[in-house]
Amino acid sequence: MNPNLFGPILLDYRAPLTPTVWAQDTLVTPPGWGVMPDVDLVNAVNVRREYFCYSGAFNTVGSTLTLDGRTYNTTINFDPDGDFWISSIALSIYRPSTSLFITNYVGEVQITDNLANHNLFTPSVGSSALLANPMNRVNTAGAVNITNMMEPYCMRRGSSMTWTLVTSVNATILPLVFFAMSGWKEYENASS
Amino acid sequence: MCGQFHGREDAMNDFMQGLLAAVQQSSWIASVARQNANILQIDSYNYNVLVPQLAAAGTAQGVIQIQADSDFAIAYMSGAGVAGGAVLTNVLATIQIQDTGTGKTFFNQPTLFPLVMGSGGLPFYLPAPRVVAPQTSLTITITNLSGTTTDFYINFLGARIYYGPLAGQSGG
Repeated sequence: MNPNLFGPILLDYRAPLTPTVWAQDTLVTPPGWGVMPDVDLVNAVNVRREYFCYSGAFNTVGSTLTLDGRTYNTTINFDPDGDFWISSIALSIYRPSTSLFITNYVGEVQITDNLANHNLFTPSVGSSALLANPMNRVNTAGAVNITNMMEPYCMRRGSSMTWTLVTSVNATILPLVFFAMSGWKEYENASS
Repeated sequence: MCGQFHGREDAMNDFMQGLLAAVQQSSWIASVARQNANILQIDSYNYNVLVPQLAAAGTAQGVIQIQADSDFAIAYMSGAGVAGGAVLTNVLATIQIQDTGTGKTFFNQPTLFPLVMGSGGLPFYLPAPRVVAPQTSLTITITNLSGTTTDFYINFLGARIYYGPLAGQSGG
């Protein structure tokens, strides 16, 4: 068994969890890994977390966006089987005319939790801040592609979220704009 | 402590016992381990599949059979598109992955390849693990949105988790 297989995951997995979640936990020090959180064994058997990703796009291939100040909306409906915790957000912009992913600024993005009537950004955020295309996948600091949340954001099962893009006035680019939210679904075990 | 979890402390040195005890109590394992089960061994492993020569605007599938002796907990996913002998830095394709054991997909809809499959030699790092049961399969569906025929290489890196009987149970 390779201890490094789990080491980075455990440490990284700990990071986004809220103090509330970990308040019930104790700390243990496994060999070689430093201090890391143990899990409340009651919660451990009652809750199961599983990777999932919700994605969308403001347009589709063949229908490029017009960058003239228009507003584009798209709504993501969350499955009813488990709450979804957003761990990271990624935006990718493709320019069909050059067959390249681009880093150009295309507008302002807002994400709204429709159940809580809550915006994730105040005010809207420039698209460049959310970029996750291959061109900036590895920057000079070695950072990877996605925008990690400082804390995970929980979307209730069965709720919805609206992504809004207010395009900039720039007639030279007709892009495709994709986005993805990676995280995990939380399921309660039926046997608990 | 370890015997409580594993029941095979005589076969392991202190390090292995401590390691298994630690991972079994961890949040990560709490999300991948079977309930009331006895982990015998965890090994790093990769499952791969090639979806070859996918034509422009075409859709094709690759299937990965998960071996019968262990669960597979996915920690990373990576993929690459190769066209004309070169690895593409701009992969315009969508991907969907379905676990045939549960019927569940990994994404709510086919998702842009580089947003979930890594790029430039870096894998995508799953924020939470995804477990696939033994003797099931993963079906990977790719739609090539580009104008170029492309080979798609898909890789899943994770851990095979082997289980044994609980302490006090017979059989093997």
